[in-house]
Amino acid sequence: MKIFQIALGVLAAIGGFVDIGDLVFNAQAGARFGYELIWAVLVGAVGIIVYSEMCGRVAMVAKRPVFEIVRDRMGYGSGLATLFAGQFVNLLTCVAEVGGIAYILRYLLGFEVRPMILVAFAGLVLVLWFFSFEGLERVFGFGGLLLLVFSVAVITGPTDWDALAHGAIPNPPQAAHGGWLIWAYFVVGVASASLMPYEVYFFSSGAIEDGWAPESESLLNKLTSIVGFGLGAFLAISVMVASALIFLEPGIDPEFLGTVPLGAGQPLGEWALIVALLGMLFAIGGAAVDATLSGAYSMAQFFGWEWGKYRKPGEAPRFTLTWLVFLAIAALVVATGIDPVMVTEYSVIFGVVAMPLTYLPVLVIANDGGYMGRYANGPMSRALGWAYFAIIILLALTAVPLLILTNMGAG
Amino acid sequence: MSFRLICVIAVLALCGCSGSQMTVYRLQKDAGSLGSLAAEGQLLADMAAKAGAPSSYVSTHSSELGADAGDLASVVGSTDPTAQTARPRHQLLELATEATALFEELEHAPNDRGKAQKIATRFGHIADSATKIEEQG
Repeated sequence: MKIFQIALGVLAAIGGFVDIGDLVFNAQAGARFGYELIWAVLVGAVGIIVYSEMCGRVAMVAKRPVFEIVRDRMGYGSGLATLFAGQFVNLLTCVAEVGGIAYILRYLLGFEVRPMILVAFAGLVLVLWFFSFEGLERVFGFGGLLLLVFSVAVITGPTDWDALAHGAIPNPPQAAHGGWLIWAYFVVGVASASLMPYEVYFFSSGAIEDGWAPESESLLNKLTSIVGFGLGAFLAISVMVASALIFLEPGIDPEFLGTVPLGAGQPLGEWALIVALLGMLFAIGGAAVDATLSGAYSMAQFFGWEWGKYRKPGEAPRFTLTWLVFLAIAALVVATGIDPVMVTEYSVIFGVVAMPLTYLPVLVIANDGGYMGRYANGPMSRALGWAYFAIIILLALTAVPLLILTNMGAG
Repeated sequence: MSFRLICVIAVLALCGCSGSQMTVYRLQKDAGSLGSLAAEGQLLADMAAKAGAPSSYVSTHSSELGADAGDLASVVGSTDPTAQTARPRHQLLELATEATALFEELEHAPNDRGKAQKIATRFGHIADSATKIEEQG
């Protein structure tokens, strides 16, 4: 088995764990709570591993991606509502990621942000047009691994490993770090960010793009989910801990994307700052690809259009047009001057509300022995699936009230 | 009718909440924000002094932080002090204005290591003073 075959999981995970919102959210969580919220990343990581593996398996057996199954199981009306909710979140995510790319280019090159939005838009269009699906997976998935520079900062820095281990176990907030509500807002945000529906739409569509079959790729599906999303969680925790080391003591609250690379740059020097910025560029670029293609996949799969990156753009014209329109709208919205970090925080919180609509049909089908045959969920997957569905419901019910009550975590 | 009444009450309540008085709570929040900005400014200027960051990054990020500090200064300046907050409010306004100017200096001279060192020292003082205001209320 070639190591490159797990690239799908790495790209999907990078889109979910270290996109612009997660980078800022995890940096803020580290700056405010130190190591206390590591467990929330782990909760999200296990959840997305369970459901992405399930989605990959269902897609392999059914030879159909998740969104088609959602429509069939929920009926046209409910499916359409899920589509709208999902597309709204996809578009918000896309806006944030295009803005994020423009800001990173600005930090690297020093130009004004508006021309950089144009560069980001043109770059994404060219890459999506000319790169194969496999090429996208490898460039953005493995390019995002430059974020491992944050792990280097953690390993070589004055990390308190006992406190880090303690942070991996759920624990109540310390009085010095603000009240319960702000703590709960960050817990919900950190855990939810890794469970965004667009990741599983992308993952299951990618399994079909890569031509997986259940007889030969079941192990690859498991491995891709575990290694890919596990790596995403590792990167997210690295950003959180690196931020705790640099920002917690002086009381810095990272509100800008540009603050995040200081977590690696301050202890390791200029080269690390540049590597961190490049890693962020690939990670946010990967998330933009995830969200854009996920939007086009969902539309095409719901309405029964030709879709897939394995087809040339002209062979799937409505699919191609959809992702082009997605990117164009995103670039136009960013050009209004809207703060991409704020947009992505909203996209995470509103995305949580759409999660149960996505995950329930997947769970029901994966449990269905008549449909899935010997690939149906075993007792372990079934128990984990229902346990996580309960957690997803809890997140969905609390996300918006916490957003309002805490003024987006500002208190 | 009842819906209109609710709307009127809501508008009045919102107007009441957005009053321009510098309360102790607001002073502490604003001082906390300035302390965070100044601490980050110190970190950034210190890196610039050690040639530890590309000039494009130092310049761009200083510009962002400076815009935030400028907004904070104008918000603090637009508030009406109470007897309890008059002195610290005035001090906070001076500190925020100075921080804005320092960020602007760093933005326009990201390669001047000597100047960056002095700016880092000043930011350190601003961060300390802001923390004192936050703690004393």
